[in-house]
Amino acid sequence: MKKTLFAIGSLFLVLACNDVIFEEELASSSPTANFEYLWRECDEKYSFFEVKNIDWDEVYSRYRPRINEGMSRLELFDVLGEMLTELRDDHTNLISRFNISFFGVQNEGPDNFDFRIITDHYLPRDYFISGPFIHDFIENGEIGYIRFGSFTGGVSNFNMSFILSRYRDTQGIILDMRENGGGSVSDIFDLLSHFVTERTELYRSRIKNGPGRDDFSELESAFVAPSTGFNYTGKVMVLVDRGTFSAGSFTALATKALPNMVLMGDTTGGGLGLPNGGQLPNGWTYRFSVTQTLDLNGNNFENGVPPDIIALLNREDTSRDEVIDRAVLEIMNN
Amino acid sequence: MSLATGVLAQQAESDTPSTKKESKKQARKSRPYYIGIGAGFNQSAHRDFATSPLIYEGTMVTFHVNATRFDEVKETSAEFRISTGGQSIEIAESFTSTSVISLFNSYQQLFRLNKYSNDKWNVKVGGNVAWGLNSRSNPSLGNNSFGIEWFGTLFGSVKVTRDLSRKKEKDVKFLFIKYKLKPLKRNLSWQFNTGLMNNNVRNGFAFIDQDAVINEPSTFSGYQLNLFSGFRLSSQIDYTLYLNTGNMIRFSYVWDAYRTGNEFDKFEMGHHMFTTSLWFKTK
Repeated sequence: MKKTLFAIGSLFLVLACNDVIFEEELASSSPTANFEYLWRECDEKYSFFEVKNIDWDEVYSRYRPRINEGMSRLELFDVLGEMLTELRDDHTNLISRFNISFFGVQNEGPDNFDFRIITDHYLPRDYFISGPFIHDFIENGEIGYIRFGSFTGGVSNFNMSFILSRYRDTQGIILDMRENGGGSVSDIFDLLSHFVTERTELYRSRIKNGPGRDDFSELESAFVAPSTGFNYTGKVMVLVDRGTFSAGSFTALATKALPNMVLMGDTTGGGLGLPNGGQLPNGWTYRFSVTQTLDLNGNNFENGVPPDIIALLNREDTSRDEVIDRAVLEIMNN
Repeated sequence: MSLATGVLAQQAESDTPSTKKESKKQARKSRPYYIGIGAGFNQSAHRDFATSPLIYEGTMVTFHVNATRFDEVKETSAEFRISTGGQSIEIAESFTSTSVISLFNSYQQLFRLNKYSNDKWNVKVGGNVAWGLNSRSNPSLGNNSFGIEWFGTLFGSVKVTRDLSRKKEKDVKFLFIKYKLKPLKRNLSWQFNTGLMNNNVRNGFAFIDQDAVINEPSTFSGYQLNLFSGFRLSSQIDYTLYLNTGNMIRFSYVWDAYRTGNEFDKFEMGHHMFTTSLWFKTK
């Protein structure tokens, strides 16, 4: 009896392998398998179908016939990348070792920024660089100009306090976030905490929690509290354009809740959904948005946060930045 | 007659509750107590359907610390184990890797089945409570690059031990060389655990949470507790040699595998661990 017991045990030990636990192997280079997987992942998790009025089933019916088992990996990448582009969202990419698909939302609007015009005609040659910010006085010292080109994660209490206290006696500040494609989300709050005097609700966000189109969590509010450093309470003109995306758009959206900030320029590029990350059966990776962010009135500006004041660059005159000029006018008139 | 009366009186005395408790305490105290430390390697694999349909595999290093008190009648033991290393997947022209840290804790009590035990064989059954977590980092998955999941399992366990000791000195001849094999205490044991209650704490549907965009960073936001979810099996074979000092050397193979249940995206993980450990007899 004992020998039998031990023999059974030993047999199980020999057979102890992960096949008992693991389901079937799904690694595959099959174009059909990869298409179906990617389409289904988006179908169940992408957060903006309704907002963008996208019929994803109709997208399937258009793209599925283009898939065949004889197609090359480049052809497959093109079809899958093109399918993701239908989402019109630069938080959506297909990533392989040889290419990355993208939508290119900045090309949906006119080019509204040329930094050379600003360095040639507005800033002194020895302008300040403090962390991710380029800044100095303009308009005979009446206005502080701050260029914020990317959310690098480098916004700190020190550099914000240094910059804002430098311009504390000006008529106002221009915070230029045109062509700011986003980056570290924590920078949003490190930045905005220097423009509030009390804990302030900025916007609300919700996340996909099921495969249905309306399966979202409850809305949760984003708050910002005043920094422990120098906080600026004067007028701030925030410049944006179609290239202002993701964390840039979050910041633009937040200005709607901050009375001392005015959004100026062109509609932003959107990107108000937090992107996830995933992998296909053939090893390529992808990402797309899985959250929605709404302003305090319930508006969803995923298609772009509209400016309070529209101002566009005149590309024929390379000696002036009409958006900055308009911001200066706005500050000086108040 | 008087002798018989004396025996009966002795039996009656030993059956009183306080005496039973005392003898149990003494039996517990007389059980040898060991502290073990070991190291080895862990051939492991995992798949998290929340982020990828692919199975990541790799060899990790593993370390463990144990404490156990046991004899033929009862075994009580606790273990802490950590495995760390990399796992990867290569398919077509894509190579992706992830770094993994797996922590494992367990506590178990096993009791002899007298019916199936004798001088050579010892069969024990009992329960094992195990809990642990995996921390994974896969940069290619963007905002989903970091994953943590916690597992807690109540196992039903059976352990079979075969005494392979050499009781007497033995003369051996190999080719023309004659030598003596001294008496040696050793055994081979096999333990099998099956999960009776499998629980886990895992990420929510979207895998990531939105804490970053609402300015409330938290590691476990959106995580969900899943009770009676999935199943888990493990087995372990130990070859143990007793030294003259009373200490032990143990060579072990451990297989531990689990998967979550009917949540939207399943998680699967398996370990094959080969370790060598030293066990110090403390009393």
